[in-house]
Amino acid sequence: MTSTTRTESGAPHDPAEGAESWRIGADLHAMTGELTQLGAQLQTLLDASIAPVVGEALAAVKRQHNRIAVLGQIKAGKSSFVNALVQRPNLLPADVNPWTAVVTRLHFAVPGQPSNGALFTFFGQDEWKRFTTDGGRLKELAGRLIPGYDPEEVQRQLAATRQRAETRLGQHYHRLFGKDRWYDTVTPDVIERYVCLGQHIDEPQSELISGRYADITKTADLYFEAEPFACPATVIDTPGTNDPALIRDEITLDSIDDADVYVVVLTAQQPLTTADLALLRILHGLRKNRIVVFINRMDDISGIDTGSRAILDGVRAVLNSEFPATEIPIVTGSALWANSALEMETADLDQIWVPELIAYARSIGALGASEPASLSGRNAISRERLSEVLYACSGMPQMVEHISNLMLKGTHGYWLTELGSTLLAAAESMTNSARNEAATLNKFLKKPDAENRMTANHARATTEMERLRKIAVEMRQFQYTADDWLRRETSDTLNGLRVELEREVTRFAASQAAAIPAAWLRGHSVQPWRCDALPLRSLMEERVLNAFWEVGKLLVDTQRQAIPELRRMLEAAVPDFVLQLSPTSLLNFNLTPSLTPLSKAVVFDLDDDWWQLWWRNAHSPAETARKIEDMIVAEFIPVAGELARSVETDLEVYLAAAIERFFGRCLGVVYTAIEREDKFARSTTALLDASIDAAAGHVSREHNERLNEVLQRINSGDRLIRALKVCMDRYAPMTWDEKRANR
Amino acid sequence: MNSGTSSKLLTWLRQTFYGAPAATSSQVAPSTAQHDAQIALLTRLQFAREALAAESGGNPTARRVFRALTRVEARLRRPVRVAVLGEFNTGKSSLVHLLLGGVSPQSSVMTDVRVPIHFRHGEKPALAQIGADGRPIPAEPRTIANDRGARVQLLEARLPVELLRGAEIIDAPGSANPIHDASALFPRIARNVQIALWCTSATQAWKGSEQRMWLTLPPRLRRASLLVVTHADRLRKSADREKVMDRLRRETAGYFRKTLMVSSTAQPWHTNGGAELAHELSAAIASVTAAREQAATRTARRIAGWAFERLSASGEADDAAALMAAWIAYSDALGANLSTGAATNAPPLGAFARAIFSFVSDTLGPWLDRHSDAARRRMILDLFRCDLAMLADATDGVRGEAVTARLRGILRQLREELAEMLRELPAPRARPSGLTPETRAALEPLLELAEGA
Repeated sequence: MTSTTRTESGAPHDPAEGAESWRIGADLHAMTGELTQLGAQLQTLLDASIAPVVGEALAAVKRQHNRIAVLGQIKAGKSSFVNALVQRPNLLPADVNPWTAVVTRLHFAVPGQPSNGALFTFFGQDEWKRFTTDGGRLKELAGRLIPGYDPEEVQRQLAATRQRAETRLGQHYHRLFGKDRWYDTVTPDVIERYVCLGQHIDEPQSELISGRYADITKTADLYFEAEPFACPATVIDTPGTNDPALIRDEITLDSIDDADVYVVVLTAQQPLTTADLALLRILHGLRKNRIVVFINRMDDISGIDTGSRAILDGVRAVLNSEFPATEIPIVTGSALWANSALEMETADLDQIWVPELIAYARSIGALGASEPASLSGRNAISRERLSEVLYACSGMPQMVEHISNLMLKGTHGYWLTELGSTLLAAAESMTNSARNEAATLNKFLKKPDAENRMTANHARATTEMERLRKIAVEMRQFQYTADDWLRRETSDTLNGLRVELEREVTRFAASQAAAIPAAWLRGHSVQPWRCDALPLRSLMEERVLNAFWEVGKLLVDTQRQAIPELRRMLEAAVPDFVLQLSPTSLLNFNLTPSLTPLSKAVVFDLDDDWWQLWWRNAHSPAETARKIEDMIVAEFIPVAGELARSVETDLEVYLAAAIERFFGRCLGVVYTAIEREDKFARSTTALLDASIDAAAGHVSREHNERLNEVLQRINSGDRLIRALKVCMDRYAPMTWDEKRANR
Repeated sequence: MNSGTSSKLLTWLRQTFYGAPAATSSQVAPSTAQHDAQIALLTRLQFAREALAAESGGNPTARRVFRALTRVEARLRRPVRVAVLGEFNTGKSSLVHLLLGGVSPQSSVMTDVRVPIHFRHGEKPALAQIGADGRPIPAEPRTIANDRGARVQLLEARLPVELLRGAEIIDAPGSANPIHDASALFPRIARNVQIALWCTSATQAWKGSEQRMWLTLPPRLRRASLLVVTHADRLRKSADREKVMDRLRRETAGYFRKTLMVSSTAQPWHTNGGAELAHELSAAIASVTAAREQAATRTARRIAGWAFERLSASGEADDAAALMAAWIAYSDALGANLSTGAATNAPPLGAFARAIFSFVSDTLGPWLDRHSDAARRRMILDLFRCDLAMLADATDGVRGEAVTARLRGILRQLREELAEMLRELPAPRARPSGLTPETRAALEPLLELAEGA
């Protein structure tokens, strides 16, 4: 495997800004670095009682990694794009025929994973049966639409897959099911054997043939060091959609789970077909603001400079009219150019560096207007420079930028923001209690002492500790009460959501059914009529988001109602203490619910040809209407249930954390006070045994030292607060309002 | 060069039709032998038809045979239609352009023609917009085909290209284009063509959406259609081209007559798949023509056989049919007259009786003289004896409309009884004399023709 990093050069027209800007997720990495560092500094200042909260938030960030899924139609150049993105031009094999048969995950320094090697997991017996005998979900859906229908084409493909597996692996291939294989090093040969489709063969082949295990391999996991990512990342390469082989199509659609960035690869020759649009619709329904479109293979078209613009405008126009509220970034380029730039030695430069590309390079400023461009001769362009220019033309720098931006808005970014607000709360709380302690110490130092005073102080500290402990317990109980209340209210809202979702489904079903007789009367046949499930999905999504927003308000309400009582408790605990108590800002209510159940395919997603078969068996308008209504209800009621359940799970985790953090701040103050009294009591106990004069001097010395220390903490605290605010502002991800506006 | 060409194709078309004529010659033509065979068949059909035309004046059988042969001939003369189908930007229009013998067209990145273009033969180039009603919609040369409304359904281009005499070409807009998805047009186009050229791009050949679309079109097309893999020049190595072809042959087994690769932009076109395409298309056209000839021969034989039997053996039966037809026409007219007479309220019995009598004396009587014995003649004439007394009996107690209805009932009854009587006439003797020597001479070659096949 070759890992080539681009060489730097100080050439005058260098469009890239040095190697660091090439590292993907550099901003996220920088923010993680800054926050982690500030967190570490803060931890040294924190009391043992509050430090674990910060530790947990830091650990949560360390556990994160970014998932980047690369999707698109067959032969769009997804694998080549992945190679260019991860700067390993020869890693994933490509071919002129559809080649990637297995979902391949490339892990870059993912916490808890190895940093090199490859793991291939085979299908289990059940999964194999589901795909190659039962025909997978497509056949299941078709069966639901037209019971007993058994399309010949699917049968033929399934038989061919089973046959090929047997030819390649021998008749005992079933023994491999449920097993996996580990390789210490990743080589293209190994990948070819497990991931690539392979040539068609009629007789058994040797162990080393490409594609030997592809039919029965379920997933491939490849492990690498971090380069070229600045933070832990997993890139997911998928088999293409719109494959004539329905099974591979399905494997791809199954892999669209929860990624932070979706790269949709199109081709310049057929930029955006109806199949691409269908894929984008599914993704957009899931995660609107996580898509970036790469129009690959600009090397295939003529008139690159004008063509590139026309294609970009054309695709943007369609996407704007299709998704008016979302701005999906679109980049044109060529993975071929990028991979050639990364590996100049083997690149076919005569074929690639053609006059049209040179003109394009000059038109986008990657190459100077009068800079030499010929490959040979006295006035030739240097190889290093050519590599830079090719890379600049390839669209990869823009892709790196867009992907890095989207990473900031992904789950890793989300947990970073959480860490930021936790750190800020902890720093503020710490600084406030330090101010409070400083005031007490000052008071004490102003009236120096006597032995009785010290004894009295010791007694006071002991009772004070008792009292504070009681308040802490009381506060904890109050937290549980508030938590209970919030849970109850939330569960009411979510039950309401479930009911509403089901009502939307039945209402939609009825409206669709009602439309049928009218359509029947209007035309000679209703065949062109087709149930479009998209409006229902949008309605359900809207309901879920509203419920989510409602729960967000409940959280704020809970906190707002708790504030007077908490303030009273704090007042009782630390009379002259000032803690700014404010409910979680809704802007920080930064989580979005998982909408994955909505993307589950239903019979209404089947292609028109299936529906034509269905209509062929339709009888009367009334009966058809009833069937359609039943079918909508049967397909979507489970979806409604799953949606409600997944929202519930998401919220449970989030609300528990939010309440804990809110009360934790106040409890932190009380615990700090307890600790202070404890220290005080212990130091006076020690001093009571010593002579009074010495003791007096010692006490005032010790208190002075303590005062200095506290003042330093206040300083550091203030400095940290400022730094945290600056850091969070700089990398501010989208606010909730922006998120809502994007929907 | 790249992809969809239609806007430039249009420019070219406009130039061809309104400016300097482009040089046009094509490599696709039916083979000479094929052509000769077809001509021979057509000549025979024509000969038979003309001979029958002479007979058809008074002979209904000859008339029917004449019409049937005319239809067979028309079907045989109709040019084969070839549709060029596929997803957008797969080089359909470039292919059409090259088939028509044009020079390699310039390209645009995005396709912009939204209606099919029907290329037909014409002595002079002409371009017309056809509306939904099948009529031309007038347009200025500069604006033709730029109509963005739904009015224009089709562009009809006539060109003096020899290929188009034998095979018309329909260049369809591409499917899978989200801006204007033409896939709804495909089934309609496919119904009216015998051959399809399905264009698929070499670098992304035969996607699931293409397969699904193709499988929804009539299966009869699969026998004569070609899968044309365009942009072959984008696969630089011949090994790569072979790999793609290998997969396509496997995945599309049974879907096409043949799969072949072309590079419509590489020069010269004929060495880059053009010659092979021309050859395969000619062969496909020939196969369609041959199939048509076989069908025409079969039909002609059936017609000739039938006609031969009818004309030679059933002169009497046909005369009986003629008599029956004469009565039906006569009684219908009579029935119709009754309605108008009813309005005057005068009982039309007298007129009715006279009318029946005149049919008996002018037509029925003389026919029976020729065709039946005396006993049967009397029986039939008895039936038709409708004197006033009998009619008065039949219409006793009713007036106005009801009278008319009764009289119509009588006419109906007479029709049924006459038909029955005629059926009971003795089986006709073979009377070869019913066939003129000319007709016999015309029909015999048709019979031989079929026996040879």
